Amino acid sequence: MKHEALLSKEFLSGATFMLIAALALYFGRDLTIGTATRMGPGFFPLGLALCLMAIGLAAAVKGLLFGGELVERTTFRPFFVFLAVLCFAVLIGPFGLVAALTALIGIGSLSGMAIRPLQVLALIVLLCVFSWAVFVWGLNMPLAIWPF
Amino acid sequence: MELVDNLILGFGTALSLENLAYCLAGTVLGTMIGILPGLGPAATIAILLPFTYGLPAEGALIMLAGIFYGAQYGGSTTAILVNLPGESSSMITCIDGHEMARRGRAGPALAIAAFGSLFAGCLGTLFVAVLGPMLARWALAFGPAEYFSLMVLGLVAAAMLSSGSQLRAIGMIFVGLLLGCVGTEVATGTARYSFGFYELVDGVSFVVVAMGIFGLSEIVLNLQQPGESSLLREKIGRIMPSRDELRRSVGPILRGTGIGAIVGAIPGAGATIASFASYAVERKLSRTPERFGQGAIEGVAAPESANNASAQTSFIPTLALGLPGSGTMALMLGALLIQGIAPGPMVATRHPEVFWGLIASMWIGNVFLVLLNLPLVGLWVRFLSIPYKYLFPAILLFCSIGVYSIRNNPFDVVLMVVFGMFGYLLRWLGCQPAPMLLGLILGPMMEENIRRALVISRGDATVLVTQPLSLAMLVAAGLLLLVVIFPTIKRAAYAFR
Repeated sequence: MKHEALLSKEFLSGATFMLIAALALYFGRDLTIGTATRMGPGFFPLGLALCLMAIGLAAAVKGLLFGGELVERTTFRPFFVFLAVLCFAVLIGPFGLVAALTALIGIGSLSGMAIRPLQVLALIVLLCVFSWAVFVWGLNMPLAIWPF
Repeated sequence: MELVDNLILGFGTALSLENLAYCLAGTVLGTMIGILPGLGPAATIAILLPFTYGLPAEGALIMLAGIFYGAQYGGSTTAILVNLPGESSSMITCIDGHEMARRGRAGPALAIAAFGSLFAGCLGTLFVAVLGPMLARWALAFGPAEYFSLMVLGLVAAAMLSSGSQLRAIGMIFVGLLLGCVGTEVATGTARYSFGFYELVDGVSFVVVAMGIFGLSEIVLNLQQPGESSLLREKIGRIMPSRDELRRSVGPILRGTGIGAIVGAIPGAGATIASFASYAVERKLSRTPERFGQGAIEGVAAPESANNASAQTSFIPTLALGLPGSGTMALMLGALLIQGIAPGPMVATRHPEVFWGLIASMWIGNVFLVLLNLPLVGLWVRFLSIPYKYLFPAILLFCSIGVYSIRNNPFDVVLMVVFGMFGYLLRWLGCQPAPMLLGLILGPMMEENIRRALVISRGDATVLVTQPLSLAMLVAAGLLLLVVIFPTIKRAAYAFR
């Protein structure tokens, strides 16, 4: 067994599948399984989780034995996208559209290729006006625009 | 003639001013995103799904379908002019299409691609109109056992024919099926896997998952690619093909349409496989195969016809059986569900205006697309000069506001981020997200059908193999599995020897 087999896509996805199956089994432990004639709520998930466990095991073993394609190194800057959307989720309710979009685009722009601060500002203004026109005025969505 | 009556009803629906506008909007948007690499029809349809809650069912489906087949037209433009596949189904068109453009024949290449697509689209739609209702009528006799086995077959086919590791694709189906279990169980009303969040009691929203996986994680993947601005280098020139080029294209267009129409109707196969297969066939049939790769018009005509024909016929299993064959088709099925229409063989009879209106709109849309693409191609390629760094904030905005607007609940936005990260992790591991989406949408239906089948048979699981049709479908699924897995097992056995 080679050390780098642990970094193969096949092994890691197998491990992920097994983890998901284990979580499904753990959180579904209180669901009634029932009988075949009267399937309980736990019947179908239990079957699925066991199948997924078997597939995960097969993939993991295959990855360990044969290695295969390795996962690539990732760059972490683009993950600002996720942070940006989380900030949007926090801000949109209490503070309204403008604040939420400013955070979304401001933080989101950190994730990409070089955008100059002035361009970010222009994008924010442009997209705020656009969203007001399309979503609030055009589609009548109940979105607060300002925090007050 | 029943078909004629139905088509009259369909055109009556599709030709209303409102639906014409939806069709035009869909095809324009489809062309645009088809031209832009890095933004595909799946992502676009996912992002627009939440905005269709307020639309009438016909309008929503007409528009979303227009995006899907419109993208096939747009994709060829990028392939020919800049040697980049705007869509994966146009990959093979790059070879000869771009070579033609380099030799100053970009105009004819675009024209043949558009004419081929028009012909293929119209014929493919005819297949949907004729075969769809036939298939649906046949499927009306299905009991729950047959349905369960049909879905098994559909899922196995989708996993086996997807690109990448098939083992992982099967795993992804089960992940999707498990996700489909989240929420209230129908028979007893027990909340499963809701982790105390009342938002999860209704289940994981299909729209939120699709947006996270096709919207957010795709943005992250695109941002990780080193930035390159695609420059338009080739002049388009005269559009009209020469007589020789037209003559050479007739056969490839006909054969490409046939191949595409058949391949498209198979779950899991789809436009990319169809275009590759038709290119290979043309090369094999050609008396001068050495011309391929050197700007042969056949190498543009065949794959472009094939991908458009298959785009239309992939609606056959989706509409007639409720069995989506690809991620995009799963999204179309999701759009039906949003409109409160239960997918399955009843759609054509219970909602004829939706079914036939959609079919009629495909003909209209294909004509729109030729009119939009050929004279305006110079305008469309300008979109290529928009750098992604200005594009992705707009996509982010649509994702965030769209998901929030479903029920004005920030929880859904957070859930989208969770699925975006999950989708990113899975793609990093080389797992295709489409099978998961199919599992998520088919899961509840499979559970319902197996429950009913077991109640009818009093708990006897052999019902799945004693009904001849159900047995046939399971055997087909088993054979498909064997065909794909056997080489792997043989390789493993060989390695141990």
